[in-house]
Amino acid sequence: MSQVSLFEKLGGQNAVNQAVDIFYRKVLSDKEVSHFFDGIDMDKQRAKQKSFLSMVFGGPNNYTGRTMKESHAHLLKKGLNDKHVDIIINHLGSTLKELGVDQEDIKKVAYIAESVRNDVLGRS
Amino acid sequence: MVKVTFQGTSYEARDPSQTVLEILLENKVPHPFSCRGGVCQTCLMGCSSGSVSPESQEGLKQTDIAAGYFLPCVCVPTEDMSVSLVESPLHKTKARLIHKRLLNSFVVRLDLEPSHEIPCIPGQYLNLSPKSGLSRCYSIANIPEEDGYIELNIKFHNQGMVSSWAHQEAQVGDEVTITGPLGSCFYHNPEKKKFPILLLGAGTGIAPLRGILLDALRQEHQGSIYLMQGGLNHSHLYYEGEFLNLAASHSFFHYSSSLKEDGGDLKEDFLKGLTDLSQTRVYICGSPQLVVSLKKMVFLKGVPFNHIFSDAFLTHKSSEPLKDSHKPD
Repeated sequence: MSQVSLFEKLGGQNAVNQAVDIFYRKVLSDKEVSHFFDGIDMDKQRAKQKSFLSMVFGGPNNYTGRTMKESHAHLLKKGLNDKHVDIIINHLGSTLKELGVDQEDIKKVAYIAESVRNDVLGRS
Repeated sequence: MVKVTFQGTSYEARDPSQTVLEILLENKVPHPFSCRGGVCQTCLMGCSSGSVSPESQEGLKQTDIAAGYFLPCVCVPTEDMSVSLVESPLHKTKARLIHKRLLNSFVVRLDLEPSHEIPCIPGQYLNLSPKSGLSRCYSIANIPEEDGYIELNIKFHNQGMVSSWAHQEAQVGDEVTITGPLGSCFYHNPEKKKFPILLLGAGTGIAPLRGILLDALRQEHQGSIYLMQGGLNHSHLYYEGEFLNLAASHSFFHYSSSLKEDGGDLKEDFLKGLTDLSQTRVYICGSPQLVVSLKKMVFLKGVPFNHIFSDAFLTHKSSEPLKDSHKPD
């Protein structure tokens, strides 16, 4: 089975570079989730967004359940819950749609994003 | 095998396919990283000698590339290299204070003549050390290459030791040490592209913005340039006269100010009359709060992230350093 990884198929790091501005703009414009990013420096946050996108695209990443859990712990105190994760996954999907990614691949990306839900929400 | 030198120590590659990051990590050099795939840019470093691979600069801001920054996680060295943290300066030289004057009641201008020429780009910053053990960073407010000296603007702070020195003790003829330059907040347009520029800043944030403005004018920038200066009251707007004169003599340069005393808000005033910003390059300099909020605002207005350049001036109390930030006292 010769398989191109999902990350490669989506366009590798170029896809991440393209997607990050669209995705991050959607997230910051959404009043339901934008307050989680108040006062956060964009340069740092963007690096994290890119790591996240790289992970959900099936590309290189250094995320573990533990880092996911630790990095979101302070947001749980601010009320982070399933609804917010749904919104993020939704923005991820519409970002990919804008970039012309087909439904099947969007599902694969959403599936990977879904796999870290419990870590993000501290349930693991 | 090739060697990578970092902070005075050389590390040899174990095999020819190792990346710079792998060589450093294997030798227990603690360096931040995340994706290890040239994506997240967490591990960004500077390179002062040796060549970096093109893929290790893919997706970086143009000014980052011009400053020699690269991603060590995807850079396999082909020759010996010297690498550094992006916040550690490459050059160090003595300089003499040749001119000192107040720009307003709390900002002093110091002109320094370096004993050795160092490659300073207006808008970058330098570390100024008037005495051993005492140093702070300040932005370059002029075009040193043209003037033959480096201009710094230093705000007075009661507890700031370098600031107090600059305001109260410094005398023409004094010798200081400068290291630098640092930072990637500067004008960079080798292809002479035409695009609008927006310069936003308050306080001594106007120092790097003045440097960037003068540099863009000198390089005959094509496209409109807007400078918006914020301040508490009129006395805060130092260099206003010069900016108004420049606006009068250059039809494509527009200057405006926003005063808190008059109920002005740099953010709101700026929002007025804002149209399409997708082609605009934006430079933002000032306090961390101002920089963080303006960056977010212009990004949401459609400015691509890689076209937003900023420099946040930290105070002593700020705990977490931002990227592109330095510490005037």
